[in-house]
Amino acid sequence: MKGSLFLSLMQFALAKQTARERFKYVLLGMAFYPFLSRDNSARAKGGDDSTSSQAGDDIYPLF
Amino acid sequence: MTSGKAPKLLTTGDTTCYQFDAQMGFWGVPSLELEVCYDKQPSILVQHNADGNRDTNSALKSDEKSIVCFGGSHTWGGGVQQGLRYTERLADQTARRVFNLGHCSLGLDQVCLAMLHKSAKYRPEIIIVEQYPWAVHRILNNYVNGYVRPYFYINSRQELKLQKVPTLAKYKTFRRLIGTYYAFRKELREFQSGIDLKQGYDPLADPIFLFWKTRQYDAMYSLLDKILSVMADYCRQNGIKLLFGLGAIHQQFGPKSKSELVDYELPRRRLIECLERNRIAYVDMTDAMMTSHSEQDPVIFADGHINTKGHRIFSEVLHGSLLEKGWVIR
Repeated sequence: MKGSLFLSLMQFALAKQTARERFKYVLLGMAFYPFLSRDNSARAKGGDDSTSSQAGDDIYPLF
Repeated sequence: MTSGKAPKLLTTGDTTCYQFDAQMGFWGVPSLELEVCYDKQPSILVQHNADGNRDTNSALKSDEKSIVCFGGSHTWGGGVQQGLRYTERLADQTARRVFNLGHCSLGLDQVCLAMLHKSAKYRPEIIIVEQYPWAVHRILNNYVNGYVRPYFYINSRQELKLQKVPTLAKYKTFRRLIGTYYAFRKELREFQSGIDLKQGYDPLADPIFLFWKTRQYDAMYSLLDKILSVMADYCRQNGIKLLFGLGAIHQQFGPKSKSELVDYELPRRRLIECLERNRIAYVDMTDAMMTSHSEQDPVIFADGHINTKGHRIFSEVLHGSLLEKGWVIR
């Protein structure tokens, strides 16, 4: 799972058209990797999308 | 004119009229008064009331019920003077108090939250939601115009959950950091689905219209379906009549698409499926707008927003629908 996220991020960066953009997206990918990895894990377990302080509330159904 | 100053030129994504809101991500600046203009259009006066809505401050009488209108920039009235929008026209036609809670770039997720948290104050008997079908994609965009938006998501147990606006988003620097992450995540997910909205983006070939990208948007329409369910349930619980007004898409006013695989009707059909599944009444403006539109006398501005004529038609069709349903008596 983590390996595939890393691969996705590299493919994502390499798909950019200029060297500057590719470099930017590699940096962003590295910076955001922990958050993306956590989001993916949470989704896989059926939990919240994010473990930030504003936890998701069940909103449906209302009655 | 409010003063001798030149009107402020607004461009796409301009947030002059907006400020941070802890529930909605952003909402109108209260008590704003500003002369603004859009490219090549006459200036208009923007006046927000104490609630931050482009509306008057007049209160309801003790036993009075209202019509509340939600929507995006079409409802807010981009490029149109305040008295000439469909909401004011509808007020004249129905002799009812009509509240305008439209805001630029508002998504249906924010409309849902505003319905739940802001509408009760206006004691609505009828709620109208204006939506042009292309805009349904906003429920996937968690960061817009410099503001972090609250968003719904469906977890693997098929539960609809709400990710609220993070407290730190109150501060611009953190908003940018959080928003940059949300934007990156969205772009990555689109890339993984074979969708690219940045490089070589052509509005006439937006992926949301592409037949072969239909499956990539299934998750979005599933999410939309659940959000609409919340709206429908809230209205049923509170005895409110809910009506969607579906606007025409800008692309439909131009030449027909060169391929049958590029279908400008696609998001409309899918939105209608969701509305019908949730037994939400709707009225489709497309025919009325298209038949009334010409190059010499258009119903839209060059950027696709409905102009004064478009607002007149919008209100006439809405009014006709309300009369037909027996929801208003004049």
